Order: sequence, then C-alpha cells, then structure tokens
Amino acid sequence: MIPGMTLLNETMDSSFEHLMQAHLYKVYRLCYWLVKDRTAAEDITQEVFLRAYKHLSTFRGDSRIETWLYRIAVNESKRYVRSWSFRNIFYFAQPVDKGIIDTESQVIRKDELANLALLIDKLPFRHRQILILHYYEELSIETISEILGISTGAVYTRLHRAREQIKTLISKEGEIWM
Amino acid sequence: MDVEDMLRKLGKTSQLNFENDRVHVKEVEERINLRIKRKGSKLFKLPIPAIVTLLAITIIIPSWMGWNISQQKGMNSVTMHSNLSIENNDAVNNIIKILHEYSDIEVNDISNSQLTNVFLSVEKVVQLKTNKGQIDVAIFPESVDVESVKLVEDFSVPGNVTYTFTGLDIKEESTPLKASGPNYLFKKNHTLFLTNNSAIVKKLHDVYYLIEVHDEIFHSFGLNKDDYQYYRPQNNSKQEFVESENNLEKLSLESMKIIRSKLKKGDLMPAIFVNKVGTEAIVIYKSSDKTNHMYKFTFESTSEKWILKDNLSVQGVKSIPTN
Repeated sequence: MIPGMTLLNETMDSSFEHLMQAHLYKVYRLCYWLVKDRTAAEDITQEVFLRAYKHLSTFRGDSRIETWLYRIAVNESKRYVRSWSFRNIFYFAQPVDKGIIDTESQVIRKDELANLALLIDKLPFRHRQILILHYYEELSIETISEILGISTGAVYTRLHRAREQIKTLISKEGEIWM
Repeated sequence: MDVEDMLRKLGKTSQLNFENDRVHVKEVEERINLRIKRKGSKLFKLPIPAIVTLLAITIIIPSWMGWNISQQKGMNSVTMHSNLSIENNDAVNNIIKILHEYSDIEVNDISNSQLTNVFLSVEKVVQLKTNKGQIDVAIFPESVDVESVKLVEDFSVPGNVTYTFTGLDIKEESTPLKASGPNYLFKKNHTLFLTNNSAIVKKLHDVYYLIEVHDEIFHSFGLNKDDYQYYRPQNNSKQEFVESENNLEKLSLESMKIIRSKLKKGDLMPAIFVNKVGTEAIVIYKSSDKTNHMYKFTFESTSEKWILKDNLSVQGVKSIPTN
C-alpha cells in the first residue's frame, strides 16, 4: 500500500509506476467481475489508470489510494454497463462457471456455485457491485462505504437486499430473461 | 450451505480462478504506458502560464458568467416564451408511445415550445416535459428534408447564449433564440428533437436505431409490427401488461431457455412482441452477421404454457453498431 502523502513527495511518473505495480491487477479483476467481459474490463482498467494519472497530483490523501482507484473503477464500470452496447448486445458469459468447476470440483458442489455466479450476473448493478466488493474483494463495510460514497448503514441494507434477491432467484429455479 | 456461506466460497473461488490472468495484466499495463506517453505529450508539458490560462477558460470565466458544471452538462433550461397548453396530434402521440415503449423517458406534460414560430413550413411544434428533461419537437411534412438542418449556437456574449438553425426556411424575426447553455439536436423521420440534455439525444439515437432494426426484422418475415406490442421486462410495471404479467414472465423464461444457447457474442439482444390479445408472441433478434431471427410462440390456455410454433432465419440488411 502506498500512502497518498508519500506519493505526493515523489515525481508523478514514478508514483504512477508504483501505483500501477501495486493496484493494476486488483483493479482489472474488479472491473472484470463487474462487467464480465475481458475486453471491456481491459478498456475500463486503462481508463481508470489514465484518469488516475491525470488527477494524481490533486489526490488529497483523504482516503486510501486503493479506495480512490476502486471508486473510479466502480464508476467507470457502471458507465459501461449503462451503455447502449452492453444493454442491447449479447455477450457470451465468460467461463467463470467453468473455472469454478475445474478448480473446486473435488471439494464443493460445483453446480450450486456455478449457478450462484450466474445469478449474481443477473442482479441490478447496485446489488451486484456490493456483493462483488464484499464477497469477491473481501472489503470491509467501511471501505465499501468510502468507495460507493454511502453510509455504512446503507451498505448493510444493500447487502441484505442483494442477498434477499439472490434467495428469491434461487427459489424461482429457472432462467430469468436478462 | 446457506447463501452467506455460498457467497464467501464463491468469492474465494473467483479469486483463485483469476490468478491465471496475472500475465495478461502485464499487457494492460504496457498499453496504459503507451497511452500515457501519447497523452502526456500535450497537457503536461504546457508552461505554467498556459495552464493558468486554461484553468481560467475552463473554470473561472464560466463561473463568472453564471454557468456551472451541471449547466455545461445539460442541466440548463431553454428559456421559454410561454406556458400555453396545446392540443396533441397523432405524430406527437406516436413519439410519446415510442419513448414509453422503447426507453425510460416518460412524457409528463406537453406544452408550447419556443420553436413554435421559428419554422416556415412545419406541421406541429410542441415541448415534451419528460422525467429526463425537456424536448422540443418540430414535425415537418415529408417533403421537408431535415437531415441537412444544423444547430448554430453563439456563446460569444457572456450570459447571453443564443442559437438558430441553418438548412431550413425560418422566420428571421424569430431568431436567434435564447438559451442558458448548449443545446443538442436529433433528426429523424422529418422530425427535429431539440434538448439541452445530451443524454436524451443518445437515448433517442438508441431508440430509433432499435425501431429500425425491429421494423426490418418484422418486414423480413412478412409480419405486421402494428399487430404486436413490444414487451420489455424492464417496463413490466407499466399498466398495459399488468393483467398478463405472469404469462409474459413465463414467456420470457421459456423463450430464453430456447434462444440463449443460440446467441453469440455481438448479437443484438432478443426482443419480445406480444399480439394485442396476448395469445401469440414473436421473439426476434439480429446476429452480428446481420441475419434476422424469429421465434413464434403461442399461449396454450389449457396447459398455461407458451409453446414454440415456428423458428425462422433470413439474411438481414442493417448492421449492429459496436458502441
């Protein structure tokens, strides 16, 4: 982790180099989980770091730099999900479910997890993002609250509602039109 | 395993699966560096006086002129001459119906537009007050070509933004018109749409593209689109589908089961059209290679199920945009 104030004391290019080394992988991973398309995740990740580069000198260090990057990533992913092509053009589901099956087949009930991953993809963005930040990224409620710019109470509420939606979808036992 | 445990397990598993992509991330890093080198060459090498001047142009002067960021992004309102209510007509009704069916734009009110006395040969001019902002609509006779119309805006006098049009006969004494910020023009089917919200223009573009594709698909299968109503699950709280909502949900599930495996990356998402009495449905989509696909379902009341009756594909014409 690179503290914001340390970054301000270095030259912008070297700071940025450190920033990418430390966070590129996790930001790309988050973008991919949010949009479920590798090409789109690559584009969004590039956009996140270009924005970060542009605004690095104005970063005040009020929050952790990781939180700041995640906030940009979530917003850029949201923008992508709302775009015309995402809403109207079909994207093959990436082989997330296949990966789950390969990795965990000896240990867990693979169908259940694979289906759960598909159900999460069907949730509205606000619920999907909260589940991804909490369960995939394993971020604390406080950090999620900072990233999304909402109170911790609101984070708990959204998490609860997202889980309830998942339970409802599971109980329906069927495909739901996207 | 309960949902909480499953989510935790899924999170861990997803992290493990992603480990293989570390190599791939290196490529992303290289591309970012490449783009920074290109981008950085301009702005970051400017001398300080030039940066101060840029800041003055982008921040200080607009605030002095009474603009703000939200205004720049389309939150400003067009100055109105009057608030008279006027009668509706078929063409206006059709636009309202299209917006209702194909988008999240809902027209709440129709009023007089400041464009009313601007054009010489116009059939109808109204202002639609919607949940997303105002849209001034000018409908022309078919003989009038609106494709060449251009919006000409003048921002040169601080606090006095004006605009006019070229490419059409206008009443000179009615222009220029006043606005408090930029406006955006969308042209379609002998109709001009003027709004101060750029997002509305984007939505209009999307809506009319989808309509053209749906029209083409219906036509390619010899079907009359007027016999059907577009069903969007996102619109399912709207009045006209409430009674048959359960049946339409079944239709969504059933057709998705059948079509999902046929869809390929880059295809247009399927659209569901239901006939007026709710007994027959057409599910259509377009492949990225322009092929049109149609699945016909009928509702069997005895079993309360939607049954696939027909499935056809033909080569289409219109292509799918990528953005």
